[in-house]
Amino acid sequence: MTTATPDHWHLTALLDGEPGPGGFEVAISALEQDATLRARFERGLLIGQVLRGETSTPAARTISARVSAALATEPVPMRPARRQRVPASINRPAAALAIAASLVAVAVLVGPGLLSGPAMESPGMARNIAQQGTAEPAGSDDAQADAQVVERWTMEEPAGSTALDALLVDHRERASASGLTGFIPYAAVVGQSGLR
Amino acid sequence: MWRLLPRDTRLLIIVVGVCWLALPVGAVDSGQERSSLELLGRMAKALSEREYEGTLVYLNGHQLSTLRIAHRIDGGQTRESLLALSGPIRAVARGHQSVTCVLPDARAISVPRHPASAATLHSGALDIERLRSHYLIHLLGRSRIAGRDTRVVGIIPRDDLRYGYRFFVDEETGLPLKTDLMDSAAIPIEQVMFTEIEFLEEADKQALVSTPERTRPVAALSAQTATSTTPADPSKIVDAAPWHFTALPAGYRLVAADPPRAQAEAQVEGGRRWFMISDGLSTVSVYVEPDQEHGFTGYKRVGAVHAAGRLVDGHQVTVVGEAPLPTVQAIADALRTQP
Repeated sequence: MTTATPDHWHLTALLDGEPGPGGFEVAISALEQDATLRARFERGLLIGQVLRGETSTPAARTISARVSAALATEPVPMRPARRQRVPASINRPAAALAIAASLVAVAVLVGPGLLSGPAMESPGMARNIAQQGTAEPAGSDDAQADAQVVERWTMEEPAGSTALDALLVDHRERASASGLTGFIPYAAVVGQSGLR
Repeated sequence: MWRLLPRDTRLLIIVVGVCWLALPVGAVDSGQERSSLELLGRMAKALSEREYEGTLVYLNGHQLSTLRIAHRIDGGQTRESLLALSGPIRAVARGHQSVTCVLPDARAISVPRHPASAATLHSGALDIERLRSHYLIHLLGRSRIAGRDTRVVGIIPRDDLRYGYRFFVDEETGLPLKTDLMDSAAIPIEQVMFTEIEFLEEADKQALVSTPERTRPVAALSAQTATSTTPADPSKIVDAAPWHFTALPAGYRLVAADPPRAQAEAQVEGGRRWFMISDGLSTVSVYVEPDQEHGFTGYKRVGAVHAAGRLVDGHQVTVVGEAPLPTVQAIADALRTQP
């Protein structure tokens, strides 16, 4: 019988999606710092794919080397490396209250088409539907513009993709500091799979 | 009989009738307004104060992912993690000082975490009239998510230049259990929904506090601490020199930038400048840096986020935001150097 070590916990956290008391953060950090652990993680990933009858990803075998290579070229500094002390007086509840206070004054009307989403039980909904009609659906201009868009984030140069991803994460972080949507917008950052 | 009444009397009856009909409608609308705004305030508070762990599904177009989320508060600061349970391993860990992402091809990115005090959206006085002219906010009834009762509030744009939201707010805790990002036709572009959620009890919090942190976050990566930003004060003009924006999309304006000291450093060291353009709710970041030949020109998209890149006077300009493409494109086109 073997005793579970912290490394076991980290692997379990990532492979089974079961975070320990510290969430996934500690496991991700440990994986990034320990090449042996990364190799074990890859093997676990591959075994899991085979056991579940999934198409195995050959690239998974090279994750260690790629992570190492990525780390060699990382980090992507977002500003000149100058350490500054984080203000001790960060007051998230106060920020939340500020949001609440500011939103109290926002005008309230009902938007068109909103009712097509969830199952509604509000008695005022029928009247609101009748009052709608101010918003116009996305027009053909938008569709035309979309056609010009490179479909995915992938760029020819990996450094370009990494830099753009870093900007995306930085933007998310700055925009979510208000607390209106919290951490949840990050779901979009990792929600996109290999089709990026 | 109606015709027998004097004309003035008929007019009076019509006016009284109209007023009688209008009053309850106004009262209901006023009540709805108050309720929806209270709900949004409660939601923002819950997002910063509640500790939870759960499973999310993320839907964008035809792409569906399952994610595991954990949100903890440790010593008054939040710590969060998100792990993709389907497809390639992707993860986000948000510690005290930095946000680290592991992306699909094992690339890792770390950016400094920005303090709540640097909030750019609502840190200053909100320009109510400006917001009112671009969004509609209303309670949309009740629904059930992850086995829990929720109240639904919608924030919908009046035009095609911004996205809207629909929040399904847990009646008991105030946490948004489902968030829809919508276009102006209220068609969901991106949806994030809890399928299961567990709130951390007091006993678990004690256990968490006593758990020593085994490793420091991502020593190999950048762990720069965040500096505060120039806040969004509507009465204060944000200094963007030597850059300026012309003809921004309707309702949008420059609301924040890195503080003057960081700007000066960026000028001297050839670093990156950052500006935030907002309409009061929707935000777009503008990054300007000397061209290093691995930037891009044109437009790109990931999920609901659009990015536009162009070169201006030897500088790479990259605009990133959760806004429709024409908006992001127009903001990129609006940047000029001051004459």
